[in-house]
Amino acid sequence: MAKTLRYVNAKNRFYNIDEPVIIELSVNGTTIGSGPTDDHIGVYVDGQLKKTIGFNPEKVMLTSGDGLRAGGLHSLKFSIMTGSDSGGRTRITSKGATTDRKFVKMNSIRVDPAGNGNATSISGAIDFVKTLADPSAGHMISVMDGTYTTYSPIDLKGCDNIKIFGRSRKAANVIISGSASKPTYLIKSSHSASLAFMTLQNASLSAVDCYDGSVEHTIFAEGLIIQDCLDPFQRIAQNSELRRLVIKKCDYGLRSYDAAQCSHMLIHDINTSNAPSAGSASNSYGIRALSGSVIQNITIYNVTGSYAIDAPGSTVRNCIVNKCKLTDYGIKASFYKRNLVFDLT
Amino acid sequence: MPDLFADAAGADGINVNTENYSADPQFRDPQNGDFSITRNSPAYATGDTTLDLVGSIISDTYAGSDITFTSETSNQNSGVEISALRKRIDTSIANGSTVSRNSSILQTFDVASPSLGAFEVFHNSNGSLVNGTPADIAGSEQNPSLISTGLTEINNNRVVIVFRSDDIDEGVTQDSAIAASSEDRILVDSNNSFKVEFDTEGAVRTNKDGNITDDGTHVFTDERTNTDNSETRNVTTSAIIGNSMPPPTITTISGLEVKRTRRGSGIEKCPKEIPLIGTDYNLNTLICISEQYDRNIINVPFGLGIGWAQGPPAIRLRGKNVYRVLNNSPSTDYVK
Repeated sequence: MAKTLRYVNAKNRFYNIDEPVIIELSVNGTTIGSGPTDDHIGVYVDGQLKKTIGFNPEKVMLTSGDGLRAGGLHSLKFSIMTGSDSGGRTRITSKGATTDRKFVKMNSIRVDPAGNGNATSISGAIDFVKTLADPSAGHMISVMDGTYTTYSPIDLKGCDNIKIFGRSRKAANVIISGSASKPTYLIKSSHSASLAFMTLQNASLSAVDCYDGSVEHTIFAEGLIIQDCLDPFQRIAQNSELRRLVIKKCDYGLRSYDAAQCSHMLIHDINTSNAPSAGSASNSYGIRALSGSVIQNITIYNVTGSYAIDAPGSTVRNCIVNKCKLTDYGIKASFYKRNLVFDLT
Repeated sequence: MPDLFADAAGADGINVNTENYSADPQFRDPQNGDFSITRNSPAYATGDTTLDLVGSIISDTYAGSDITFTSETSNQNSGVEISALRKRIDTSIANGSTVSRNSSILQTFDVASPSLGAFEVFHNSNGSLVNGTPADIAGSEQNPSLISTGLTEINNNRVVIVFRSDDIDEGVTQDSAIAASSEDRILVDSNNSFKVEFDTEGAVRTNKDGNITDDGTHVFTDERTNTDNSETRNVTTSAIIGNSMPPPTITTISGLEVKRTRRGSGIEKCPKEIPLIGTDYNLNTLICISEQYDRNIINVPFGLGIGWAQGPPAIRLRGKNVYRVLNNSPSTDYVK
């Protein structure tokens, strides 16, 4: 059985991020305040001392301001602490004056168009996250199946580390689609945002804009289908990780502005007559990434441009490049191994 | 025609490996968007295995923190594992896996190399390829990191344990009672068959959204399965246990009961007879799961075909050390 359940016993429950977690305070075998050095109770969240409370409360209330995040599993521990020393430091009065760790699980924020979730739109859920004490804590948003028409970009600004997932884990079931008058972007990302199990389509520029405030943002993506855009991502930053993506019918393939780690991506029909707008073939790539990238297990098919894979200073392995119209090379890298390149014109 | 690869003498092509190919990858139906490959493709199982899979760790994050427990059966007492247990992952890989240390010595494991391209090769129970785009695979149950709970699949001579991030025991409990009782158990009997009992200590029922639903003291039952070479028997849920598990019991193949204690002071090492070998299908690697806390992987050369990760275990899996084998099997002693 998963550890999650092992520790979440019948006395525990799953909480929503918009409700406080209230813990009955109990310290086995110790009468609070009876020790000669007892001064207050320390509350540890995920091993970090987050707050101190006096001896009298019957309950401890924790909120998102105490480090709790939607979709997170947290450990809680309570200890009897000494008074501050001359340096303002406190410590546990004695070994054993602490509880075992208790685990609480926070539900993710659910987006459900049918109204059974916390929000009916992704932007609504984002607005909710922005109201939390720490929007950048890495809150998780689960998106139920449906098509979410986007008229203007979903702005994740300030919601660093956010995780947005298609709930059913099937990319085809959660579709974020630009409206008929295409928005420039579907999602304006924040630092270290994670996106998974969704289809992103129909943007005049990029599906995901990772460039905001003159800074590129790191992005984590898995299980996405991106189509009918100019770029799938705009200006992703260093240390981005992308796995199991399908990028098709875009003017450009993946263009990273720095080193990225990419695996198991299918990129096809780039800058072809199928693309919504024909880009410049001389500056189009299946993948372009800078030095230090690792690109592996990529299938590239029917790309018209300069390179299928342009990754100077990088490692390219286990890739297939097939049926591309290229002006320069199939693959350009510093180290490449066991790639299959066939039928280039 | 453009060059296939940047010239070795060029500014960027400093290390062109001769193992690159120029051959038709033989996609199934590329015109209609099917870029999967068949066993006849030159791209099939010819990939480089010397590096770990790179990319997003989202699957792990997702699986660990947004759990869906959905029983696909009508038996509401059956717990969460049944649908997963009934799905059999390819049995043609790592046929040589063994639960016996003695028999594993000098044994060669036949581990498939990854294929080229974006399609990860999975097989169903019939040995047929499971197809899907990378995005499909990411969300499929064939992706072990997304299985809602750890999957233990048992065959007559093989144990596959698929795990996700929150199955990893971080050694979080200091409560000896919890430590002693909260362990899944893998029992090996004298007939060389296995019985797996999933620990249900503290477990309560959850709905499909991962929320706990209160049904009093009712907990998930132990789930047991015995398999032979031909079929997986239905999981039975005959036993409903309480909130505590009996002391863990492990027997060797010979039927000898092995007593053990939890890690910590006075730890008793688990017998060398039961290092468990499984296959991490997500990474196309072998893993070795040892219940001996401080067992080191030594005396194995690191190179093509052989690649035990040495040193301390990379991760902990519910009290078991998990070592990753990066490539094909060792051909000499591997567990000391």
